[in-house]
Amino acid sequence: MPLHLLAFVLLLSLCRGPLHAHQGGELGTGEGQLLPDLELPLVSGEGTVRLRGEAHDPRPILLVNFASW
Amino acid sequence: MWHDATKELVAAGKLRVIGVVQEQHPERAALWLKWQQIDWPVAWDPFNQLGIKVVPKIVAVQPGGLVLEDSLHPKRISEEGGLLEVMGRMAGVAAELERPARFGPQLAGWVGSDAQAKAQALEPDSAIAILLFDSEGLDGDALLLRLEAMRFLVKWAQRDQASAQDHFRAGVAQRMLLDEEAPVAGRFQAALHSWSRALALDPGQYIWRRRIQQWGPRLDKPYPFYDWVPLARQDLIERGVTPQVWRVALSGTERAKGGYDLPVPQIQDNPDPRGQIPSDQEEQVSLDWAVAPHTGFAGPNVRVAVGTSRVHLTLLPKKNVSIEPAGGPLGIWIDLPEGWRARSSWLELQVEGDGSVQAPRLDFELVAPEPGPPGEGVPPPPVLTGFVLYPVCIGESGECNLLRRDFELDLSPAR
Repeated sequence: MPLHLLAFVLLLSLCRGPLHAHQGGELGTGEGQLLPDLELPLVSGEGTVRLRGEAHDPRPILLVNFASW
Repeated sequence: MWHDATKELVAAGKLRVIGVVQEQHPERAALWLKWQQIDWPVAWDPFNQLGIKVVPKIVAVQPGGLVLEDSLHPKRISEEGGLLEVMGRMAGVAAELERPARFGPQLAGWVGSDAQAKAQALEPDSAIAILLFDSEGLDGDALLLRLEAMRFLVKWAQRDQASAQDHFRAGVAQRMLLDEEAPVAGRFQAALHSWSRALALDPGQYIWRRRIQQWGPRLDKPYPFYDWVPLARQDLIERGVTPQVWRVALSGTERAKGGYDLPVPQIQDNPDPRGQIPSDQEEQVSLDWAVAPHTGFAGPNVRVAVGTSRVHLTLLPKKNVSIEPAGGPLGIWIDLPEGWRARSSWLELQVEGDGSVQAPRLDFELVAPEPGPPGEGVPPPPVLTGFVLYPVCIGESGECNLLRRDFELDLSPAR
């Protein structure tokens, strides 16, 4: 493979971002794990929310697990 | 705390905050959010799909789902660097979400007609998805499918290779259906048994422990669970907001404060010491018992006498039978064994409901004596005996009578 083509392939793979390196990884809420891709109902009963966020939304997410008790 | 700390970042479009609660009843968290004026989206995860073991737990997630930090403390925001430093590492990656999310709207297809055919093809994910959808306004077929989904999860937990999580989820499903349907005798106890089995297999799972403690004895409450509800309702009314009417009322133990003070017994006379009140031979009223054990039975650290529990009783009259509180005593007499404590040997039931559906109920604390020294021998499984009195009127003619039902209640926790 020509060197410039190899460099292009490498660049492409880097551009895919670190998530793809972990996509085969363990699901969970621990550091380095992938959050389970859950869409759950809202407690208000009005709609659902996807815990990983929406596609192409660049905002990081704070997931606050709590209880009203 | 997190709401105030992140408000500006959220408003500036730099951060998304998503709450998750694992509580059984979503409307309680919804009330709390309204009261606290928190406007995050908050997801309802009663089956604990996230596998959280304890709350609060704050997780920093990169767009697309990679967990960068799993135990953030609010202080991190105010400290130098703080959350902004974490966010710096989180930013800049907007990975594509390649697959549809689990339990999303695509599973809405499970709800609707052709319930029989769908019930044949159930598996754990689809059963949970069916139960997660709002049950308000569903037709008969959809409700039938929810019942099938619950039965599936119960059966799934009966397999030899069933996991602790399977037991927990079977309990969640049973309690969910109990709250949706007309009361069904034994279903609450079945849910408590499922949760107890789950906790016995994984005593370090505090979400599961709290689920039992919610209905369990005061002695076992790390803090009051829902004592804030009356204040929240009052505050909202004063703000001009009408709080939602709940389908499921709080039980006594859910409102109670935790504490190690033992109940001070009140001396009461046995209302029928010679058994002269007619026995309810035809079972005009069913007794629905549920015993929520002290969770000290699971795990090596808490030594508590077996039998210490919160006992729940609901009376379920037959269709043509009505409870008439004015017609005589409505309550329960317990034969307290030597050394046991309860508020009283005679406990009155509370009548709730709108008259068309009557289900008098009560819950009370039962405290077993301290266990003897090690090696003294295992006491026999505790059994509580006594009787229930209820005044009823039967049928169109309105024949009224005071009836008695004797009982024997096994207080051993399920394992």
